[in-house]
Amino acid sequence: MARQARGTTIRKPVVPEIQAREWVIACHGYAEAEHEAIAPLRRQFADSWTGPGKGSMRHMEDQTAVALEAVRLARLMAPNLAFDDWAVLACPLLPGRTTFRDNLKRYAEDGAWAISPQVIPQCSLHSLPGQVSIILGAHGPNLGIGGWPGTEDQVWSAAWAIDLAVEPQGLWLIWTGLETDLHPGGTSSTRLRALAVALSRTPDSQDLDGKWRLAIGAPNPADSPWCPWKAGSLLQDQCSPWSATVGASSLSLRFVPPGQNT
Amino acid sequence: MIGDTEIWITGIGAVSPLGCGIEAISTSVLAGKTSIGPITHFDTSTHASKIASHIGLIPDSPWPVHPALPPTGKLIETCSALALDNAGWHPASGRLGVVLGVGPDWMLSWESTWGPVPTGTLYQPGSPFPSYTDLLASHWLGTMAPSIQLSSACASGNHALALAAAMLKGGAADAVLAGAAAVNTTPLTLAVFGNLRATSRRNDDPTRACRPFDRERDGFVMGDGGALFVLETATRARARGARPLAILAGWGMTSDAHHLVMPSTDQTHVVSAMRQALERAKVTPSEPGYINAHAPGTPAGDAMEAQAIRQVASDTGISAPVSSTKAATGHLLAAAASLELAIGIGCLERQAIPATLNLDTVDTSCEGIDHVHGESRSTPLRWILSNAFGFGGSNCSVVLRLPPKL
Repeated sequence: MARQARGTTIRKPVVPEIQAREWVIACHGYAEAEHEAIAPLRRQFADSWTGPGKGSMRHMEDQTAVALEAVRLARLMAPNLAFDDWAVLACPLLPGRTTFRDNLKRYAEDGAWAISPQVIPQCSLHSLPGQVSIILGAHGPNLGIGGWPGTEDQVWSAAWAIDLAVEPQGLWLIWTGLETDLHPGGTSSTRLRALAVALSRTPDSQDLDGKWRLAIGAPNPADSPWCPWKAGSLLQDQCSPWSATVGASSLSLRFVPPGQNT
Repeated sequence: MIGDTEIWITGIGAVSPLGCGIEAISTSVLAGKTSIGPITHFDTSTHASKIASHIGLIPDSPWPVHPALPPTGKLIETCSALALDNAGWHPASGRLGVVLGVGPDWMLSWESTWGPVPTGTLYQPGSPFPSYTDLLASHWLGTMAPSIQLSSACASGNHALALAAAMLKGGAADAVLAGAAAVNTTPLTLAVFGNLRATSRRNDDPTRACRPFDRERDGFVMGDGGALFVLETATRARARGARPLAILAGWGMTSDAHHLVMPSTDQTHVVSAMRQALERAKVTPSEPGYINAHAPGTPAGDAMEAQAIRQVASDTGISAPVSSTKAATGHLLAAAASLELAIGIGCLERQAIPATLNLDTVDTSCEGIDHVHGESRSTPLRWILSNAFGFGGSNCSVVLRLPPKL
């Protein structure tokens, strides 16, 4: 292969027939918390959990705790919905900052024995969706997506692909983030936020009253970029369709308010 | 529902301490070699486990993406270039998507900068470095196809290929670069798994420390390496004259929803992932195949998987010889499934199954399956099933089929 990655004229692709996917937004929740509020939130979830891993839950990562709160609020909108075969896709941004910062310091001072065994199980990209799948009893795939700032829109590409790959009954999509990165030597506290959206299949007979719908399909170059925090308020306040691009990819999102056609 | 479009693997870029390229790695694995040894690149005096399959010098990529990548980034860069080169793919060939399985890469980036063994200058406070998918996409692709960076812990590599196949079948890309590669052997990662009591403490006998399915197994041994693949629809690959190395025929994915670390004692969802993959690939009981087990050499994980394999055979009538290659390569964590798929393709090419090294006495909890041990076995193979299970209760199985001869 010749070295021609940069500066090469890329042949205009044949416009593909992209398979569109459509869901109903079954419920959604948004949560914010100051860093100081995380410990009580974490204890609250661990104390109320009756399944295996209760001890492990006491070490859940900060963003996981806020995500569980967003999921809890979302479920209040659809208390009778079961999630047995649902998938969980979550994009925490740079998870594990405080834990990792503390453990780097401990390693330098005391060596390997001082390192918490919870660092990787709780603070990796897969940790948040894994914990949510446990809480929900969701046996579809659970995946951490993106993880770096600027990768939030990858959740949509993954949702579209997972839906094509295994057709789960529904998908939980979760975004979390820190207001400020917590690097060694920097600030030690920040504000956290989480958006959780549950997408269910749209059987013909389903009552769509009062439900937003969401479609992913072929791109529309006129769309604006996706932003999870904008979408959170959109679902609360807006009543006209809204569409967004999925990064620089060949996919586009379209949110459709209740009572309107895609 | 996605159609019956056949997905071909047309390029592989694999790197391991056992060698660079599928030829070298498969030869070593089938010959019963292991790359596990004492860790010498940092002080392990306070570590419970002091052994690994460490990659040392990472081969340079012929087409560098970035001058200051940390070790994992450099490995991804090299595997990507090798895979694209192997496939004969260049940007003008069409829209190339990326699906990359990752581990805790931002942690490793920090460790590169502030950790006990500084290895790179990639991450600067207040200026987060772009994700690896962004780097690859901007360098190789000028992309109009989706990029996805995902993690399901040790199942990440298999999930990456399954999503890549869906991306192709759904029409969002003409080819997808997919897989995972990682340099896991860092002080903090080793410490975490050591303190979790997941790694072997047989430090005085490194080459015999990793013992999947064996009665004396005491944990896994960490490894570095990985593999990236180029996937295309058969139609598109044929049109540009690419040759298939394997067919990605099936996948299955489930979650235990049980515990973040411990596998469930109920194998229902592991069995379901394996059955989904076999059914999607239309494997029949009469076709000869091979099961590359996840089996890292941990007491609970190996026993659970052996029981699941027995259950699948009982439910479907599909059984096949089983081995784990982790005693040869180490456990690559997020990249494990990718390297094992590359080894599986080597097995299909050579019609041979590698032995599980150090399997001297099959543990009673792991009996009832056809273990390949002692030496590799030459046998006709039409398919391989590769299992991968990760923290968070993620299960993902993939079936590869022997490609048509062109």
